[in-house]
Amino acid sequence: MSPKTQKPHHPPRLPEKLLQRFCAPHLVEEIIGDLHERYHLRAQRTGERQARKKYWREALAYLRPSTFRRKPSNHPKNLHIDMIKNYFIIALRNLLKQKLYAFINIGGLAVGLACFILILLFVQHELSYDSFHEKGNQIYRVTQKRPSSNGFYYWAVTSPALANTLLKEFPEVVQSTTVGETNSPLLSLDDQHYQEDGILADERFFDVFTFPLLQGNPETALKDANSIVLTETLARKIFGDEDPMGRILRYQNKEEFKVTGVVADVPKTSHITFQYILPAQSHIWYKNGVNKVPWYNNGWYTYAVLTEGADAALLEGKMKDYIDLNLADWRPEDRMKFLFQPLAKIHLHSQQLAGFNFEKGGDMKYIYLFSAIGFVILLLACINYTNLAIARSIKRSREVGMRKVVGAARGQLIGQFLGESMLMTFSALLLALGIAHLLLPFFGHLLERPLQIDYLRHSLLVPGLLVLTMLVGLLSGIYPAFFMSLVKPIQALAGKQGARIGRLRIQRLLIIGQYTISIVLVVGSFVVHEQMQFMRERDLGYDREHILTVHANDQALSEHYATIRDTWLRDTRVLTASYSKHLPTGVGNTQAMFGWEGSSDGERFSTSTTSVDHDFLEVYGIQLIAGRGFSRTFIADTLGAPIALVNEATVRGLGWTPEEAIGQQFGYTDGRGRRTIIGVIKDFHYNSLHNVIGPLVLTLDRFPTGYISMKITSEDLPATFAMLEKTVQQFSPYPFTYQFLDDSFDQLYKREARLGEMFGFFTLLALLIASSGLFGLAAFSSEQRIREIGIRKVMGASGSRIVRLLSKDFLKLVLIAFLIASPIAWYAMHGWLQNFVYRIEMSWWIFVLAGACALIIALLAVSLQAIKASLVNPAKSLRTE
Amino acid sequence: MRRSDLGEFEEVVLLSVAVLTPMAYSVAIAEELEQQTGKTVTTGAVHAALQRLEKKGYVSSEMGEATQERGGRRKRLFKVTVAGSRMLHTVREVRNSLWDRIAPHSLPQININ
Repeated sequence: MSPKTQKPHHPPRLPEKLLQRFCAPHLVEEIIGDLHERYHLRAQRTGERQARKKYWREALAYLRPSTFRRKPSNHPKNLHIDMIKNYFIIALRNLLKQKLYAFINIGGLAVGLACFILILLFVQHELSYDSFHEKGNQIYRVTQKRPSSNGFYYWAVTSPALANTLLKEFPEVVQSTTVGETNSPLLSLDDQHYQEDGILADERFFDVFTFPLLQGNPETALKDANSIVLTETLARKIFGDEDPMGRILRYQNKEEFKVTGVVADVPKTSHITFQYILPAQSHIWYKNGVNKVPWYNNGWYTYAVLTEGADAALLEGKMKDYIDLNLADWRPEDRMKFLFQPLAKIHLHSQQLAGFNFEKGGDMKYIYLFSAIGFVILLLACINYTNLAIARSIKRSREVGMRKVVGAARGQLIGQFLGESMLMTFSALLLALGIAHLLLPFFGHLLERPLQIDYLRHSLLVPGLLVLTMLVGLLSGIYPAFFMSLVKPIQALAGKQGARIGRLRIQRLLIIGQYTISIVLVVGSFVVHEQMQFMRERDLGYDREHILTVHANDQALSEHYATIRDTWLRDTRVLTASYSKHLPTGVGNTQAMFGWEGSSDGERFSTSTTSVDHDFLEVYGIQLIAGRGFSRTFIADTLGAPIALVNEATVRGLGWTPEEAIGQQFGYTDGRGRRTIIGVIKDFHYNSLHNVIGPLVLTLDRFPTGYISMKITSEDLPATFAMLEKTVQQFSPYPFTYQFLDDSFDQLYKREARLGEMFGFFTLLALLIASSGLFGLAAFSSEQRIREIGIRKVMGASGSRIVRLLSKDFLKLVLIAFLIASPIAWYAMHGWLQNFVYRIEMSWWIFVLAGACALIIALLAVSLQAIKASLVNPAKSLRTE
Repeated sequence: MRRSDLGEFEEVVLLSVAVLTPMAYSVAIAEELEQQTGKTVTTGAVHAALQRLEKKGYVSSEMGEATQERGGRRKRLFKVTVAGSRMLHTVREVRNSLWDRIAPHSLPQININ
């Protein structure tokens, strides 16, 4: 027997298996037969090895639509359209027949989707910051990390000399610019005064950033120290329809600036915001030569454009070497490290950076948090749908049985029920868009963002929402669809009841899930609220009641302060008044001490610093621990001797007792000679409660602009304001504005307060959605057990017993949810509280309260139905069949 | 009938069906074409073409007998229908008339064989 005629082995099995699985059933026989025959032919002709190889190719050649397409059904096609019509009619009838069910489902989904849309818009807005700059991905902001007595300071501000150094010394830096803040000065045209926010920027500003000039030349617009660039809006406000180019504006009522350019309005998603740009050259530091400004004088933002593909981390290393070389007289542990922050990260990743005042910064953490909340609320609504649909399926089992009897395939039924959930979600989407439109202004206001639904600009919004809605429909409908299509026709038509509602394991799990999420959210919002309350009520170390502050940004006020103060104090409603560079809510400047007794060579001690006058401690009720405060009765004080007050943290940091500190001398980097400590004050919170109280030095220097604070009585406030305004207007053309210190304090915690409000709002929604689901389930359950209840009543069960019977099942689930939720909530909120230096301890009652809240709301939802059921006359309920 | 045109491969398959009748089925046709053209022709491609032809009404089919090599599976035998025959004739006429109208020497000379 020659090998050629030997009976070949069976061809490989895998392709056959695959084909058997996927081929249209009516083709399987011929296809596999063909494959086998050909294999045998080949094996005889070329040997088995070749045949096996070809066999794979042959099998793969069958991978085409014609192989998979099923044989068209013998049923006439027009039946399908009728069927779909029938599906719609049945779906609508079901909705109309069970209005509560429809309301809970569509309402819940709509609210969930609306929240999701709102949050999506917010997240989209936050993520789109600074994306309009042409060189965007090459622009970095240079920030610094400076060692301090307790860890590190991170500053967004640097010395203005840095930009030039970068450009000169590092080839990776293609361009750099310096941006500074103005102290809201006054711009005047003739006798019209305008007080707007502006920035200082050097002439390379337009080379780095893409702020298109509508008029003027970007190369030269900021070159001259006496030029000014206005935004379109401000130009129109000042000059109307006249051509602003070349016109003269008075600045602070002293210098004159010529308009050299009009820039398009700053996009809302820019972290730099301004109404006008002044040349940095107009600033005193620049006039004296910017390269001479030492590197410990900060207060300017430095931006650099790096070459494409440049490695910022590498550059940071290079700058470290440069600093080690050029700041050799600084102790190594005092030297700063420069960090390059990509432009795209500035808006959301700058919370730890001090000197972040251009705009209301965002926070990546909140983006995550809000996104999570959006998904969670949507999920809760989906669970409602699933649970109620399962419950309802028992009522509809006869319909399903009937459909099966007349020949519905399982796939058709699944399609029908999925279609129903899609119908629901799409009507919910329409409703949700309506809700979102209504709530958007309120929501945007709360978050301080100009949010709008712009279908054209966000081209992905509409398709995205459609896909999302489909997913939601699929997610919430898939389980009920499979569940319902499993109904056995004989049982269903014989009237056998399915499982009891709320008894099915999946339903129980879903309810537990919903309540777990809700309870976590409730605990969260309680903790946020408590923490906010704690911060608001914390003893800050200074008085903040009845203190009125006036922002004195006109130098004239500083010059005539003595006169103004005298005039005011003559009025009995003004108790005391003080002039200071900063308010105690926000001391911004820093300087370093050096050369004190016992310090090593080159050792520096970073402190915050501000200048105050003799009355500061009195107005704010800040206590002295040792020594004395600044006083008009000491001749030395009034003559401007270099003296200073320090706080306890400074004394502690330098290892002195308060008494030892008195009379100590130290050098200070503000360059006004050696200072003598004359007093030690008690620590007060001179910044937000996010930070610990650091070292603080108060000096008595004169300074051009600042704040006047005064303690006033609360009688006849309007008259007081009028009196204050009249005095100020004698000296300054600035519009008179005032603020209570309480308000500026609240602004420090605005973001957290807003977060708390939003959080509470969403929590309420979540609880509402979860409870409406429970309400619906309870309604179905009591309806289903109506005869049982009737019989129980006939046998003598009391109303309360029946209520207990019906509520017990559900409340047990809420209790289980509480047990699961508590540790999760504790862990999550413990993490959040770590953001605060001064924080509350989470006490047990928060958890108990949250659990009780959830339980009470659940009880309300369930017992309402139970009571209704227990009140029904048994004669009536037993008559139903 | 969905489409009444005839692709090149379909035409060749249709002709092969005519040649091999009454034993025209995928494997035989694929083998035949492989011999004629010298290129590998998969039964899958032939099978798909046959399905298209059947849909257009140019061939009809019925199940044949089972053989041992096919693991006891039946084969599907194809026959050219009247419509298919008409189509083949039309195609041939078009081709012939075109060939006839080519002027002598207007095609570059090639050596056959």
